[in-house]
Amino acid sequence: MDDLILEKTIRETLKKQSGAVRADGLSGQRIRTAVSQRIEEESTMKRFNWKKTALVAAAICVLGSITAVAVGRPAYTSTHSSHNEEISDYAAAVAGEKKLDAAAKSVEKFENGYQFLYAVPQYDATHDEEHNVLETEIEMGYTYAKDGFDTVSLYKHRIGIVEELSGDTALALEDGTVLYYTKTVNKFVPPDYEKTEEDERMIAEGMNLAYGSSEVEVKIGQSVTWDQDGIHYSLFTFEEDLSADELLAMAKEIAES
Amino acid sequence: MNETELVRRFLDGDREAFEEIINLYQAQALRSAYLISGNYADSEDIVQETFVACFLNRTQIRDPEAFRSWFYRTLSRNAWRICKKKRREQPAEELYPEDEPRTEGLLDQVVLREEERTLLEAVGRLPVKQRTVTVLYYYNDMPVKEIAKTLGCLEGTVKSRLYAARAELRKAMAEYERKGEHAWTILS
Repeated sequence: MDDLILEKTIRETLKKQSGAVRADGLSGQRIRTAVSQRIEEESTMKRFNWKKTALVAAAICVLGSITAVAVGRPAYTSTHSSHNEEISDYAAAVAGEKKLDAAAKSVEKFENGYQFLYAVPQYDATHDEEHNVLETEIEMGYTYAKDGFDTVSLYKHRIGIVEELSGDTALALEDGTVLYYTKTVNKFVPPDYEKTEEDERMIAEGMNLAYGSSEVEVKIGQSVTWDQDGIHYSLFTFEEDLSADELLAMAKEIAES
Repeated sequence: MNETELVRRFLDGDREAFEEIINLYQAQALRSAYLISGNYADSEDIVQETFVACFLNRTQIRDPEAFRSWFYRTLSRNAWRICKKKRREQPAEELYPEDEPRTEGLLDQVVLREEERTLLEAVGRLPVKQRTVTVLYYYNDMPVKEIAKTLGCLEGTVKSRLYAARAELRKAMAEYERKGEHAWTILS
């Protein structure tokens, strides 16, 4: 088929098929009503997905605890936060962070379009095997968004124990800082969940198991971690469309800010 | 009032301006979402989610003149998200089903020539990002530069997706024509 005829056929076929969709006052009214209802629901539930924020915090927490177990003494870490403390102004978040334990680097906007959405204080604790609290810390967790949906979170804490970083890919910066990229499977389970044999096998292969979710949920996470000036950074996302290179570039922007 | 002024009013928090934007955008948005997702039920969800995101994230839109690109980027991403979720349960052949149940939003079946039906099925088999570029280019009449801005990618990426999509569609049409010629040969 001639190129011009092909182009004409594509154009005409799509326009013809689109004509199947009724777009009159009735469908317009239905959409307006549904949109209004959704906006009211979202406003009531708080404008962003708090559950997702909690899952990110849990995933980062588990990543941290795996490192901790490797060095022997502390057994696990825990974290909690409250959306009542959400800060939606970047300057206010940075000012608030300066009063906390782990004031460190952040950016308001990334070159790829992600920009600051909100920040919330995270209350972290390191426990031993008998559940005694060895250390507590308050850090500011930053959430960035693109197009209002895709989110990337930045968490930081003081380097309290000797941690050995590793990842699937590493990127060395000019100042000697090394950024480590890791892709992980995260399984979120209720507090009373009992591990299966399959879980044990998956954990041995690198899966993170995080307790505290209301239901069992498996999500792929991507993170870039690095240590710089006595602070441990984690840039984390559940967005599968974001590539490793893009996440590393975002981490580089923070590290070099 | 022109569109930029309308968007500016909306960004300033004018709810009536938002209603007018819905009126202005919903028909083409619904049809674009239908062509990308391949079925009507999903297209309504995609468009609703897009308008909701539009309202909730209006503070992120700094330039009123970039609204159309922002809107279609959000719509495309919503469509990809839904298509990705459905991909595991819905074969590509089932896109644009001829026997899709009639709903309030769908008119009686559009009558397509066999050649057009073949082409539409081939569009349904394209990877969703190629299909999106094809719809934005051929249905929404967007130039390559605007598609790149809309999807947040390089113009070269848009061109290569269009090229790959055209190659697939050309192949499908060549196969269709070959079958036609083959039948003629037998008859002769």
